[in-house]
Amino acid sequence: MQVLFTTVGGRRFALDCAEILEVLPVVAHLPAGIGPKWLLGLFNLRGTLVPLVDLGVIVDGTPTTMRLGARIVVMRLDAELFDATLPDGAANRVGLLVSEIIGPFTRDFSQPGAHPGFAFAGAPHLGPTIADDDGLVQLLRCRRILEGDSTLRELPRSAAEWPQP
Amino acid sequence: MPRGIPFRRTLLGQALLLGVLPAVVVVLAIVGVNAMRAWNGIVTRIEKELVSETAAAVKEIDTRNARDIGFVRMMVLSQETGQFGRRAETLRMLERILRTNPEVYAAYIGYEPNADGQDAAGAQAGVPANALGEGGRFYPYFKRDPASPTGIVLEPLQNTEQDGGLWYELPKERFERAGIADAIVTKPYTYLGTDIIEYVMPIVREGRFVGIAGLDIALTDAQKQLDALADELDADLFLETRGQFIAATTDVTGGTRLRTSEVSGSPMAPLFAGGFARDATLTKVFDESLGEECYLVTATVPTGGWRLVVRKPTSVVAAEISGLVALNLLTALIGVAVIVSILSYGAVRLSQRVRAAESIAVRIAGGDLTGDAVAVRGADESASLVRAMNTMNADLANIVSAVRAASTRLAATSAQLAATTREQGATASSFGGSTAQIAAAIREISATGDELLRSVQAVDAGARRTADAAAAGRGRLDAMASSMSRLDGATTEIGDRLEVIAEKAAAISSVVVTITKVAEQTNLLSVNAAIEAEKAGEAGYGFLVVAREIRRLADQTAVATLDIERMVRQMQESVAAGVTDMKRFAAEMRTGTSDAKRVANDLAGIMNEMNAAFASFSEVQRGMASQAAGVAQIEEAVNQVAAGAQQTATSARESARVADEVSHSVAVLADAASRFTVDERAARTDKER
Repeated sequence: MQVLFTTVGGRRFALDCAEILEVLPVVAHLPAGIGPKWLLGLFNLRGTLVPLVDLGVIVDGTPTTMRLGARIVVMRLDAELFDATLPDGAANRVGLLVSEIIGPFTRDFSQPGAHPGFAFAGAPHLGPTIADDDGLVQLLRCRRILEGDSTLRELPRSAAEWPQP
Repeated sequence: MPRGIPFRRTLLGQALLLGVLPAVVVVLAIVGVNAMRAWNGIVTRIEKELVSETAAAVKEIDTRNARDIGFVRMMVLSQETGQFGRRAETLRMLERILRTNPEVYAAYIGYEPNADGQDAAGAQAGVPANALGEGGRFYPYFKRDPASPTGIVLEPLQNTEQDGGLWYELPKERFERAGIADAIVTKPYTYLGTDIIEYVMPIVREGRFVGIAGLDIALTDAQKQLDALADELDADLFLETRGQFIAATTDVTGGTRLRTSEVSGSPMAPLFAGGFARDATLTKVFDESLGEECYLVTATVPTGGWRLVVRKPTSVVAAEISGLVALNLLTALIGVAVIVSILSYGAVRLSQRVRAAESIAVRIAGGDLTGDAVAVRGADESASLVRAMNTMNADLANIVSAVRAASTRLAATSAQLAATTREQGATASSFGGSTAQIAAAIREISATGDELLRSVQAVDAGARRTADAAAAGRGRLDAMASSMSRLDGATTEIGDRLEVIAEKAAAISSVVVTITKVAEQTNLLSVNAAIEAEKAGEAGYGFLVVAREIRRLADQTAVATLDIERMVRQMQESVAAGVTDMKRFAAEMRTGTSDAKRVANDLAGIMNEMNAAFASFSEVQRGMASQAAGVAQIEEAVNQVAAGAQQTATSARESARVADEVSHSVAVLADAASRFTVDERAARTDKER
């Protein structure tokens, strides 16, 4: 499978190219009011406002450092976090802020000797780990990346559910 | 107390003799005169008082009598103006008078027989038989009687033996003989234990005597009045009429009062026997009943013809006055005592202060200045005198201490002066010896001067050679300066060119940034292309290869641009260093050029000074010659100095003699100052000060 590498806290993680819609340079975003720590705000993706999520906060608990090589990786989540009536599947599109993007490379995470990964509650996005010439690299299941957050499940799913004044 | 002065000569004695004694004499004289005047004045006043009080008492008794007579006259008037003959009405009036006036003891009316023509009628309504006399004449007599239930009894008038019917006959006779219709006041008599007096008046109708009306009135008021007056005047009073006392304020006969008794039988008879002077005058008589001299004042009461006699012993008056005079004398004596004590206090205080001042003065005269200051209070001249003496003592002590210290210092100084002068003499002597040595030294100076002249000539030659060398050096320095200014121009040009290079390098660096951005975009594009190719699966494989190649090219471009960037940065650093070096080099060059110019100027200055020095050298040579002449003059002067030293030695001996004299005078002064004894503490304090 084709993957892109990124690093969080000095460790390498792999993102599946099949799950990625596109890679963008860092663009300006606006703070999204009060929300979880990993939600940096909203950014404008060709006319549609898309949430920007900090991968560093989710994986390691530390905010991603803004530098020249930083990128935004646009993808779809498995769950529809927002109003499903939004056009063009905008309901489950998010941008992941990552410190850098290397690749693409071809790696096989189902090869013999691969570690299947630890299954524990609150981290459904951690996938199997393999070793290559540069060391260990763990696959991130990007589409499930926000499922570990309990706060998120209590957010309103649709504007129709909001209490009318 | 100062010794040897009798007390009357001391300050205190003089003050007492000249101040206190006259004051006492004057005060006593004033008191004596006043006492005499007071005595006479008081006697006169008491006499006048006796007379005036008597007159006043008479007037009061007269008023009372007039009032009582007024009663009777009213009764008569009512009879004369219409009541005559109305017997019942008249009886009611009499009873009413008795009831409403407690001092009235009886009221009565008597008609002439058948004066009203009703005698024959006898008793009738309102006219009981008790009101009728013999023959039925109207003859009623109302009197007080405690035994009767009403307190009042009506009975016919009767002629008692005591008066012999005088109360009826006397007014009738007076009217018929002399036409006098006035009231008569009868002699007093005692009735029911009370002294009573009668007032009787005739009733006249159409010029004819028809009867009488009368009242019996108690004398209690008169007695009370006399008693009050007697207390006030401190005298005895007697009221008398027709040889009988009405009232009196003293008893002298067997414990009963004199009232309503005959005058002739009383001890007072002699007083009344000889008759009296005019009314309201004062006489002095010897009263045998008292056995002493008395003042006697008499006055007549017009209504009733009574006489008031006031008797006051002269001894009573004298006692009153002597009490007053004694009080005056006591006050005066206390005043004198106060004056004497105040004056004595002042005199004693003054004499104490004068004595204190005297003791200080005596001490100072004896040369003792060690005494403490005498404390004194107050602000008068004597206190100031003592304070001034204290101050004088302290000041003298200070002055003597200062003189002593000064003479000690002066003695030391004069001794020093003598020693110094002797030393000076010795020095002058030795100075004479030194002058010979100076002469020898001067000869040596002369020889050295010749040698110096030769050395100056040698220096002159060397200096001329140096001047030539300096001129040559100056020419070469000018040439160097022009080369340097040319070099300066060249370095400036190089600097300008280096700056152009720096600008170009900056332009290159901006191009490199652009290339880097393009490479980055290309890289991103290749990533996205690879992602898209992956999604296309097998169909996108070829596109994936192309994407990978593009990414590699982009990476190479990035590496190449990194190299270019690094090289350009190095070039920029080099150029910047070059520019800095060139600037520093140009600055140094300019400094060198200015240094060369300054050296050339210095050389020119040296040459000028050399030329000036050449002129000086010849002056030096001339100076050397004149120096030789000067040395000869110095030799002569030294000889004169030797003679002067001799003279100095002589005058030093003279100075030593004078110093000895000064020290002798100081000794005399110190001896004089030692006459005074000074508190050494005070002297020391003065020195420290």
